[in-house]
Amino acid sequence: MAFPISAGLLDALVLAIVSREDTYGYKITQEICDTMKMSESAFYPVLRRLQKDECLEAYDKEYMGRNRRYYRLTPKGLSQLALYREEWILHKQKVDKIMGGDNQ
Amino acid sequence: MTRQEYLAELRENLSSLPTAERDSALVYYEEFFEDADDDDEAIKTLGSAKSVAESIIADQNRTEKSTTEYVPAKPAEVKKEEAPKTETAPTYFDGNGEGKKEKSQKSTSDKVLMIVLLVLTFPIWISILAVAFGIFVAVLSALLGIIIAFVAMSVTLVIMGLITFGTGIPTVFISPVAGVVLFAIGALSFAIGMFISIPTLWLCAEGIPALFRWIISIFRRLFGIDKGAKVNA
Repeated sequence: MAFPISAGLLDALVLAIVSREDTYGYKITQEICDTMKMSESAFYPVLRRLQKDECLEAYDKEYMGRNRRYYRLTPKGLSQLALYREEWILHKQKVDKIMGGDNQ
Repeated sequence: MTRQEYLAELRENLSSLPTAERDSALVYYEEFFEDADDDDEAIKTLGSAKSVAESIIADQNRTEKSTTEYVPAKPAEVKKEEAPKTETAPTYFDGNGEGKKEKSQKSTSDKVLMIVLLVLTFPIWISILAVAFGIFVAVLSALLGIIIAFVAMSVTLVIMGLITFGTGIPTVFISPVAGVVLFAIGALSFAIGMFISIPTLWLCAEGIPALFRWIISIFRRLFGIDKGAKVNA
């Protein structure tokens, strides 16, 4: 794992995942860990923070006789995600410029 | 480690948190265990209870501090949207540069105020500085003096020992008793001198560099010269 993920990037990733469909903590963790091929234990703080910032909303849904907490994106979260996406593209361009590599 | 042990350890490590926060976190992790394939896999993914607790607490503190100053690491037009944390630990890529400009604009007026205050109170702090400097020099001289004393003592004793011993050689032929006495004193003096030279050598090898480092660190702290680039204030 050459590049650690900053908290800002982690926020963005979580928002992106939740934007596709409402989901719960474990699933979010799995998706990020599977794709990024890393282990990352800081998901709860991220979710908590995004909730506090009103980018995410939590609700409970019953599943197999127990409770499961789902998260969904708020309008504010959606616009925050859009900002992150813009930022990411810019950032990617900057890094590519220096690192070099095929970038259309 | 079992699930219960893990959660118990987590609860314990989170004891510094307010109850509501702690319970909320524990509910999350309890559910996490439920959703995971099995407890061991869950623990493996999460890492140690201690590090999980630490990251929760760290984030808690961060959120509390920065309620007023959201420094977004974003280009200018985005400043209106509040962007969550930018001052975070492992950031290899992070646009903190722009964020800092905003901060320094705020503190320019503070700096002006500081300078005015400094000028006004000049007589007070200059005399305090002078006294402090005097004490510093005195302490430094005392320490150096001690080192010099050690060196002088050991060198003197060793040389004197050798000389006395050497004088004993011819004396023995003239007066054996006197000669033996000289031998004894010479040997004793030599021995003591060698013995003292041990701490002396240590003092020179460790003490003098340590003194230099101490002086340098004081100056560095005074003038705020930082070798490591620390981004955040």
